[in-house]
Amino acid sequence: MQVNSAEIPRPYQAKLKSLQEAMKKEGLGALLFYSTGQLSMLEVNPVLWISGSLPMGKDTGVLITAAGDAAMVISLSWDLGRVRRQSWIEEIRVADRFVDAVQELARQKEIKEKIGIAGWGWMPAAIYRGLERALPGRVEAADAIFQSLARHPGREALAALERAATIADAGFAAILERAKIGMPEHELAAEVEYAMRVQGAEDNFGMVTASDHSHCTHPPGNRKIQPGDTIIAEITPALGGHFVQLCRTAVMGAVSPLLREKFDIMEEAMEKSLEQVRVGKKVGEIARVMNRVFTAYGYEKYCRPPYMRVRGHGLGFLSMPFPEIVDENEAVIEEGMCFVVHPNQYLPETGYLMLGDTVWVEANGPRRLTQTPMKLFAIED
Amino acid sequence: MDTLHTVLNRGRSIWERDSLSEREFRGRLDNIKAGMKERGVDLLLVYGDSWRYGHLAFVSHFIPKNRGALAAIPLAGEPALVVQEPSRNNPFSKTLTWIDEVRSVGQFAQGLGDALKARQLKPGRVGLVSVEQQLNIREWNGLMKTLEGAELSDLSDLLISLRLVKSAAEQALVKKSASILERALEFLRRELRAGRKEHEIAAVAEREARRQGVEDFRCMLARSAEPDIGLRPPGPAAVDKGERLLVAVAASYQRYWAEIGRTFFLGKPSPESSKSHDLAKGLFRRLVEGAKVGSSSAVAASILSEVPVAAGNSLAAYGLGNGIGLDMSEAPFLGREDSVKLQPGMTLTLRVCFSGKECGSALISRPFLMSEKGLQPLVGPVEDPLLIEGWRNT
Repeated sequence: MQVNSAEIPRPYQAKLKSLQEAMKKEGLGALLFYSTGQLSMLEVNPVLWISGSLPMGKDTGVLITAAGDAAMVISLSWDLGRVRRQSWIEEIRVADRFVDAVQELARQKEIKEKIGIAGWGWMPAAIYRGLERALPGRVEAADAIFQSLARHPGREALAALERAATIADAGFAAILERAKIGMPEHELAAEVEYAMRVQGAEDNFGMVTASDHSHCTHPPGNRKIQPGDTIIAEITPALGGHFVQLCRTAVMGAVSPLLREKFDIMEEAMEKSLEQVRVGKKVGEIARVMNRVFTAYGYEKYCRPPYMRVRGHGLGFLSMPFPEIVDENEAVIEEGMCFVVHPNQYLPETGYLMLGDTVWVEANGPRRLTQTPMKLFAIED
Repeated sequence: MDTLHTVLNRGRSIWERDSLSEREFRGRLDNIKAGMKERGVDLLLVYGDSWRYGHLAFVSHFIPKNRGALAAIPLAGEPALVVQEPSRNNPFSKTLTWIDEVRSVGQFAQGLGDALKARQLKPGRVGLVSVEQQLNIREWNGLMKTLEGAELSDLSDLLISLRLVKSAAEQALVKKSASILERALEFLRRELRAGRKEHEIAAVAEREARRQGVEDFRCMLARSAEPDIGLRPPGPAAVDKGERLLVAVAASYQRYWAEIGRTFFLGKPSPESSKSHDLAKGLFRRLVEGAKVGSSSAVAASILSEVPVAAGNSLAAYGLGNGIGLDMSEAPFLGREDSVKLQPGMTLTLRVCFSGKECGSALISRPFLMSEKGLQPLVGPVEDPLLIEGWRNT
C-alpha cells in the first residue's frame, strides 16, 4: 500500500528517507525488519524502531520497499487493535506462517531485487532458512544499515529518558526505604519492582542481590538480609522504548572502614571515566581509564574475565550507540548518544560492588540522567 | 496465551529441591534416553531462551535469564548445559539446575564442542528440540560446523509427548502458581477504584506475586471503553466508572505457569455487559463439561459454531484453552485440529475470551487438573464477574 508520506509522523519520515537512500546504495529492493518476540535490553528492536509498536507474540516483521511502501506482519489477531493504535503503518496483516506472509508480500509488491534483513542477528535459523528457500538468493543480512541509523535516541526521546531516570531513582529509593534485616532478597526485589511499575515502568532489567560477598549481581533468591550485608542493585526501567540504568551499592548497617576504602576506588574510577565521556573521544578510553584506576590499587587481574570485562554499554529497544564499553571499542563518542557507564567491580576483600549511571552526551560532556547520589549508601534497620 | 515478553526473568530464581527433586529429573532423563535409543539418536540437543524455555526446563530445570541455553544429552553418560552468559555468572547458573556440568560461554558452538570433546563423542545422529526454531541463524551456523557430518532429526514430538501428563510434583507446582495468582488478583481487586491508573492496579498484583516467589509475572487487560483493542499490557490511562475490565494474569513458580482470567464490572453492569458475560459463562460451562478423559482436544471447537461469527473468531484467536506447565501455552491445544486425547494428569487452562466492537467482551480462564472424574479446578470459581461497587475517589 502506497503511504502518503505527509501523514507519516516526522521521525519516521526521516527514518524512511534514510532507509530508502541506504537501499539505493546497497541495491536492495526492500528491507525486512524482524523481531522474534524475545526482547533484549542490549538490542534495538527493529520492529519497534520502524513501526512504533513493540511486538507481542512470535515473528513480527515490517517490510519497507525501496519505493517507501510499508507493510507489517503480526502473529496475534487479537493484538491488531493495539498495533494499529501505536503504529503509523496502515497495511497490517495477521499471519501464522511468517515466511509465507513475507513471500506473498514480496510477490505482491513485485520486489525483484534482494531483501535486506534488519534483525538478522536474532532471526531463528528456521525462519531465515525458510526465507532462503522461499526467496532463493534474495535475502541477506542488513543489520549494519539499520544499526548505523539507530545510534541516537534523538532529542525527542529526552523526556522519556528523564522520566525513566526518575523511575530508576524511585527503584533505588525503595531499597533504602524497604530493606530490613530478615527480609528475603526476592521480597526486596518485589518492592523495587513495585516502586517503578506504579510509576509507569514498562519493563525492567533489574537485579537485586544481598550478600556478605557477591561474585556478581543476579536475580534474587531466598536469602534473608543479614546485618552487614552488601546490597547491590542493577536497576533498568524502560519507558516508551527507552531504558535508563542505575547501579548502586548499599550496606545494611554501618559502613566498615575496609568497604569505605574500597568504595573510594569505585568512586574514583567513576569520576575519572566520566571525564572521558567527551564528544570525539574513543569509547574504549572510558574502559581503559577505569581499568587503570583499579590496576593502580593492585587489582589488574580483577579487570579481566572471569571477574570483569564490560565497563558499560548501550541501552537498546530504540537506540544503541555501541554494544559494549571495553578497551577495544574504537567507536567515537558523539553528541546525543546515551549509554551507561559503570565501574562495577569484583574486589576480593569486599565482593562485587556496583556504581553506574546512564549519561546523555552533550556538547560539553556527559549529563547524568538520574539524581541518586554517586555514593555508597548505609541502611539503618 | 501470548503476552509481551520481558527483557529479564528477574523474579525469585532458585531450585527448590523440596518441590522438584533430582530424582524427578533423573526419571525424565531415563525416559528421554529411552526415546533417543528407540530413534537411533546418540545426542540430543534441547534449546531454550528467556522467552520459550519449556523443553529446556523439563530436562534441566534451568531458566535462561535473558539469553539462551542448550542442554546436550548424550545417550550414554551425563548431560551438559551450555549457557550463553559471562563466565562470572557460572556459579549462580549452577544453582538453578541439577546438571553438574554447566559451561558458560559466548558462543554455543564453543561450549558444545568442549562438551563433546570432554566425552570423546562424535555423534552420528543428533536429535534437535527447539534448536532450529529458536536459535538464531548465526549460532545455528556455528553449531552446524561443530556437528558436521552428523545426521539431524527433529525430536520435538518426543519432548512434547513426555510433557503432556504431569507428575504429582508438577501438578503441585501448577497449583501453587495458580494459588499465588488467585491471591494477586484479590490484591488487584482491592486496588480497583475510579481514577486509578492501569499500571498502578497491575503493579499491586505483581508485587504480591513476586513477594510469593514467582519467577515471572504477566498482566494484560482489555477495556470495554476501547472495544477495538484486545488484551494488552497495562498503560497509564485511568479506569473509569461503568467500565468492563478484562484482566488476564499469569505467573511461573519453579518454572511452572498458571493463568487466570476474570471480568470486572466497575459499577453496575449494563444489560449489554451482562449479556456478554452470560454468554461467556455458558460457553465456559460447556467447555468444562466437554473436557473428559479420552475425549479429543479438538472437540472444544464445537462451541464456536454456537456463537455469532465475530465472537467465534475472537474466541478462536485467544484460544479455547491449552496445556499449562513449563510453558504458559503448551500441548494439548483445545479446539485445534492437532487432536490429542485428554488424559488424567494433564494440567489445562480453559479459556473463554472475546473482545471486539461487534461482539462485546468477556474473559473467563481457569486452570484445571484432568482426573478420571473429570476436570478438577485448581483455584476457586472465576466464572462470575466481579462487581466492584462503591467507587471511591483516590
